[in-house]
Amino acid sequence: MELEICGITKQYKDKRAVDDITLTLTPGVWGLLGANGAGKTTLMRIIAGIQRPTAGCIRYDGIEIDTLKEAYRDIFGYLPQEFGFYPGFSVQDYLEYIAALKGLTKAEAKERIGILLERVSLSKVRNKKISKLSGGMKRRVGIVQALLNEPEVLVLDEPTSGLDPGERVKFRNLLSEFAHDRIVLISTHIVSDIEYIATCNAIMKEGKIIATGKTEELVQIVAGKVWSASIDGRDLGVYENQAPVVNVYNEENGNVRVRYLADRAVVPGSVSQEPRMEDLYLWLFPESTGKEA
Amino acid sequence: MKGKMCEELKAALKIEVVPCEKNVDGFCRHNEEGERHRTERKEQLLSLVRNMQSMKRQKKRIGFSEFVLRHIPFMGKDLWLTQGVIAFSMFGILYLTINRDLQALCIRHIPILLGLLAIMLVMASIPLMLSSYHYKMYEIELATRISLPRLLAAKMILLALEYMAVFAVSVGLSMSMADVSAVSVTLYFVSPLLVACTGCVQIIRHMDGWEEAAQKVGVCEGYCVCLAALLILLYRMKPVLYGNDMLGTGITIGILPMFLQSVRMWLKESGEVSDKASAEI
Amino acid sequence: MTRENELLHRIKQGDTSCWEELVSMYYEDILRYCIYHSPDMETAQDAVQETFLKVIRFFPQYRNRGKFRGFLYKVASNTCTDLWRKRKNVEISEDMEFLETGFAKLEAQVNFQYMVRNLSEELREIVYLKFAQELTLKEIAMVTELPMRTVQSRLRRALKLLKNEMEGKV
Repeated sequence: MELEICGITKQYKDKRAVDDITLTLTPGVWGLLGANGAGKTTLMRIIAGIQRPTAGCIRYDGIEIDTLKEAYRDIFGYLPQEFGFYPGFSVQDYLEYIAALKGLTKAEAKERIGILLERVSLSKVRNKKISKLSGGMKRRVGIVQALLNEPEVLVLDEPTSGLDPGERVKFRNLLSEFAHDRIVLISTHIVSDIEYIATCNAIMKEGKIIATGKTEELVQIVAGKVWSASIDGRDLGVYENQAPVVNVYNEENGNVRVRYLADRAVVPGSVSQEPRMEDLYLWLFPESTGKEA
Repeated sequence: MKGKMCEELKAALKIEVVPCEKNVDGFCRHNEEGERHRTERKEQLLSLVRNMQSMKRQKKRIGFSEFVLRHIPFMGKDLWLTQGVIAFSMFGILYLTINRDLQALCIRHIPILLGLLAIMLVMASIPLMLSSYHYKMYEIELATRISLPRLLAAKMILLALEYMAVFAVSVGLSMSMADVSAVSVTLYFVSPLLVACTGCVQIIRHMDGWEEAAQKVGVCEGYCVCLAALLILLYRMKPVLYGNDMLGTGITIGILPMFLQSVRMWLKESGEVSDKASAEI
Repeated sequence: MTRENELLHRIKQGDTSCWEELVSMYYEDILRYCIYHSPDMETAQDAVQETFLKVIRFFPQYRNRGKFRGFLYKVASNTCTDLWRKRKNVEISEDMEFLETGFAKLEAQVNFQYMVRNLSEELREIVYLKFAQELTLKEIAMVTELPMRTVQSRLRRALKLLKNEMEGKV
């Protein structure tokens, strides 16, 4: 089982959203990390076969998905970043609708819907209108529809967008369970989502993949560049201008402890820290502000 | 000469290739071991195929016709309710307008009424055809096995059946109440129907982008209203022209290929996210 | 209904035992194709095996409409390209030759084989698919991912070149 992304490029009139990306995905959870506008959604749509690239191709087990057509869609599950529901649909209605679109027989649809709703703890709300569900529950319905056809390749675009921290943890646990024997590709700009469940990551910036590898390999990019120091709260502004600050913790003595990134320590008394994905993200995307909690 | 050459070419290229190896004197000799190996590999493959079939659980999938049937509960109910309401309202307004006196309904009213009915049916269908875009279901539907083009085709088939039902009732009523020929009824109904559908499909095709689903519906409805107004104007000013069977036939024959081509292109284009829609995100 | 269509129809109904017969029907043709598109016999035989296993896996979910042969050759083409790419660095034994031209019945047939081999790659592939594998123009268009018009014009060009060369030899 192998999904090959071969030289994919997508050129719009005034911008190149995806720039010559080559990547081979094998079974496991793959994280696609990048800021908004990095081209992740475009790449995911091309992988889903719902958008045509300007150049390159996607191959599944050596066969181009353009050749496979519905045979590829049959083993594919997709959850886009933004998705809606028809008004008046209950959870059951919606899943039966999607099951029919996925070509499942009535019997198989009934069986799969039952099993999956149980797994995501939504059995009790199956007859409830989707519009009345919380954001997290709607996302879980989204995940269920993606899994109805027992896909071998699962692509989720910003699946935790709009979820509170508790729901995000639940989601991560769910994904770890479903990723067994599947190729799962998750795109996100929330580092903690994939830090703990992704086997491998690819980092995307301005349409290009700038780094790939296991989490522990990637964080070595910022090894020796992560520092922690205690400073007077009033000096925070000064130091923020000198180096990107990853985190700020209030200390009891009125000081603040800052975690920041720099080639060399800029604050006297700084201590070197073990790098994490969050540090890597801010190192690569210093323009991004407001990390998710 | 060319035909003979093709035959010779075929004979030359279809020669069975066999493994061979060069002798010390540089000539090829048949490689028996290679031949044996080749037969073994074939047997190995056939054995793998046999085992694959016994182990693998074949996924059973429904075809397009079964999908159309399964789609009826999701679409049929609302649509037929809307269409039924429109047809009933039209009749109700008419009934009240002519003071409950059905005899006052002349044969000359039938052409325009059928035309307006056809246009109103199309107006009621537009929101349904664009619902995938309007409710952002489009991406998920595209990525399914059946996919969006065939979903749209299924909707069109169900709509066509519904139009035919309405048409059949209209023919029956017109012929029994006013002794109008079936051909005339067909022309009065089908010509405006095709013109309305073709125009709407072209509007949908050429208005690209995500956020414009509601706008597309609005423009299509506006187009239909203009078409209805044009029909009424034509009926009022040139009733003779309006009732001209030859003209009606000409329009129908002329617009039919355009309609089919527009629908074909729309279904083809709906198979992927358009660049404009994608670039907006 | 041809035997092939009958088998495909039965496979679609769920009778997967028909695959064995279908594979046997096409084995020699696909082997010949893979031999011409592989660096050596071993790779060619691996390509044949992979091709059939992939087709069996994906074809049931592929909408049929008489496109089985085109799909089969397309998969074979992709598989051969893939395997050749992976085995680029493998040394090809100089003692092995897999085209046994000595078995040709006439000298003219040998000449034809050499003439075809001397055509440019884009023309050679089309001539080969048309005459050695007997695909229709539509199927060739599917395998090569070219428009039908291009396939037709390339075929015409190739035949013209072959004819000129043949007349030159006479």
